[in-house]
Amino acid sequence: MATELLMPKLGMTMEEGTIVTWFKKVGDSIAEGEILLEILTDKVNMEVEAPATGQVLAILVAEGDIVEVNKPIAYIGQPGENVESHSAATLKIKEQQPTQVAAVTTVTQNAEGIDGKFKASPAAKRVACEEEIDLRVVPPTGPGGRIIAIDVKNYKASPLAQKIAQDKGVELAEVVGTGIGGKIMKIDVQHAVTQADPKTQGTRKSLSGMRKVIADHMVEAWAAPHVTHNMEVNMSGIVELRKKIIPGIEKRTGAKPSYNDLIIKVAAKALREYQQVINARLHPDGLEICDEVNVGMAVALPNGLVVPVIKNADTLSVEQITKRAKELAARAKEGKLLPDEMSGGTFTVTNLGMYGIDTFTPIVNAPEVCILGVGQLQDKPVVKDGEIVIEPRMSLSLSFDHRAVDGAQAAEFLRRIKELLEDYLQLI
Amino acid sequence: MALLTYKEAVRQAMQEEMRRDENVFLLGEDVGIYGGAFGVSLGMLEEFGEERVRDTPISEGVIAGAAAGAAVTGMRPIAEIMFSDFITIAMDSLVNQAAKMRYMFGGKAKVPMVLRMPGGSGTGAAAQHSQSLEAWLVHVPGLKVVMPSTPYDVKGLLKTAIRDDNPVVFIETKTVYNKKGEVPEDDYTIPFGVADVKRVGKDVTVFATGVMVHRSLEAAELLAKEGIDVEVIDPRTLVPFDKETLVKSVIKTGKLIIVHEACKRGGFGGEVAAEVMESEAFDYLDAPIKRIAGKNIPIPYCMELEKSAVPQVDDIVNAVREMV
Repeated sequence: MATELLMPKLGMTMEEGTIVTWFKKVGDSIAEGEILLEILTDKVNMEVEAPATGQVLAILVAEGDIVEVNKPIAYIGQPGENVESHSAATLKIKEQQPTQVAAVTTVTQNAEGIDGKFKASPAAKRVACEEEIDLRVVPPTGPGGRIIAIDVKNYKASPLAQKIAQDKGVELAEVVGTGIGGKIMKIDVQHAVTQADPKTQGTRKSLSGMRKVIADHMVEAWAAPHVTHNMEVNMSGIVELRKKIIPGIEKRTGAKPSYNDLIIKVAAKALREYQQVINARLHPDGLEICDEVNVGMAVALPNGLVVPVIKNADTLSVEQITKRAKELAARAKEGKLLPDEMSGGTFTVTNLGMYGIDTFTPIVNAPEVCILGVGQLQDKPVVKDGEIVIEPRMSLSLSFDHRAVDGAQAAEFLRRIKELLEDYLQLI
Repeated sequence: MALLTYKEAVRQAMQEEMRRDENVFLLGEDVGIYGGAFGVSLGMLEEFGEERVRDTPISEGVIAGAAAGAAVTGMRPIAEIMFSDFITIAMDSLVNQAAKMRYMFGGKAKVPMVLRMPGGSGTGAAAQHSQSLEAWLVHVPGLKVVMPSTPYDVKGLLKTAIRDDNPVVFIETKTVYNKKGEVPEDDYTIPFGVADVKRVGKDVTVFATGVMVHRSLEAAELLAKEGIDVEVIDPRTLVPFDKETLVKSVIKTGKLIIVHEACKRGGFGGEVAAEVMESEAFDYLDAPIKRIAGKNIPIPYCMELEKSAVPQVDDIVNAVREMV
């Protein structure tokens, strides 16, 4: 008899689901546990595995359509099986038994009792409670249609995961599920198999402190659609300028201005000019155009990274930026930055030049919308007026959040930075 | 270790205790010259004399009353009731006197008596000589109730009973009187309230008393061939009751079958089931608790009918199969 696949009920509140994609079409053969379709619930997308091996005999619901839970959506069986009459008969039965619910990826009679209650052993109830499984969706195998503990334990894993676990001798109780409601999927068992191999096992520690903050922030920031523009800059002028200003600034502040300090100065000026587009922050409720130009500078620490902010960088001289940058970097390394010194940024400069990196694709420091990556400064041959000349060159990588900034706008902004670096007199 | 029968182990325990303590003595119907209805006390009259091995009139009321009186005045009597069915006649002395005295005299009276009695069916002795009345006795506060199933247990537990300062009802299983088992020759006792896991298993817990311990072990061996791993627990003493061992076992297996020879209705099995339901094992039960017990009828005289009135090995095997 053909196996019926119902729209799964993935949670107590789920009432309907949308068919996103059918991975098979009618007539295709499919193996039990193979992914047949993807559905969308009010919360997540979920892949649904085939409950049986055979041929896809019928697909009852088109992609994009919404179906009530527990309504048939497909049939799998042997070629030539009659699905139409079976389908009609099943639908009729369903109507007579409105309380019947379906299991994810499997279609089985569920435990039925008096008054819509269902039969489950105390142990099954305990396991269901511990594993946060809705007992009503667990197919019973106990005497008299009772849900017993093993049913709940098996329900924790997809049929394919159960099979792999059995083949590989993996104890399902020790596998952490990543599917809906912690359901153990194929990949979880495979992961467990890999981990069981002592050769591939390392020391594990949980993410905490700064690492956890970075991890969470990165996931959040990565959600933005990123684009990175790269541009090479002739740094002859800046190299010359830096040489000229070092003695004076060093004498007055005790610190030498770095290329990074000069790039911050240049970026701040460009930001003021492109304030309406680049000097902004993107929040869920809209784009905030910032009045102040506050440039963050990424500082690598042994255990992570912090971004202290040079406030009102466009109003500061190179000497002031140098002084402020050195202070902030020193405090960052001692772990003594104040929260206020790490907030309020409208743009970030991150420099990997000292590691010999030419170009890279920085991740925008959300909610900011742009980040400037600075590569290494290096003498390179360049063709100029038909001649090959040697010039100090440096690559800039500007990543931007494409929701807030268009490609051309970002290109214009980056070109302006290049102009300012190559013609530093414009800084005055 | 010597290989002794159950009744030899009972005799050995009495002899060793009587040699050890001159206040210990035996009384009962035909325990002296005849050596006891089942031959348990054979040879004891010769060793200890008429003073310490006393034949009594056929009156269980007198036996229990005399034992209680002797105990209160400092002796340590072992009184034998020929068949446990006759405990009914001894009940007033046992329940209203022996069991209450220590409590009512504020602990100043001790009643160190043992009332030995063979119980159970299987000998074709009909309805008045085949009953299992332990449930009557566990219901009485002030009595300890012991129910050993093996030669080793019966010797160790009888010694503990004799040395106990409270009235102890000691129910011997008459159908295992001739069963042999290893018994240490040195002096040993078994504490009350400690159950014995007679067989370790993981699939289902079978809780059994008396002769049912042996039938459960036999059933377990048959079931092992089918891949079912049965744990058999013998409580050994019903009062005090070792709840911990049972609860631990049920948490492990999730399934409990209680087997006893006594009638199911009002039997000790109901008490055991209730204890488990009230315990932390409840949340681990994966099937309803099942009682395999005697039918609610008098034991028939016809041997075939007698068999069908109490649980047999097949009944236990089938019950386990249904549950697992």
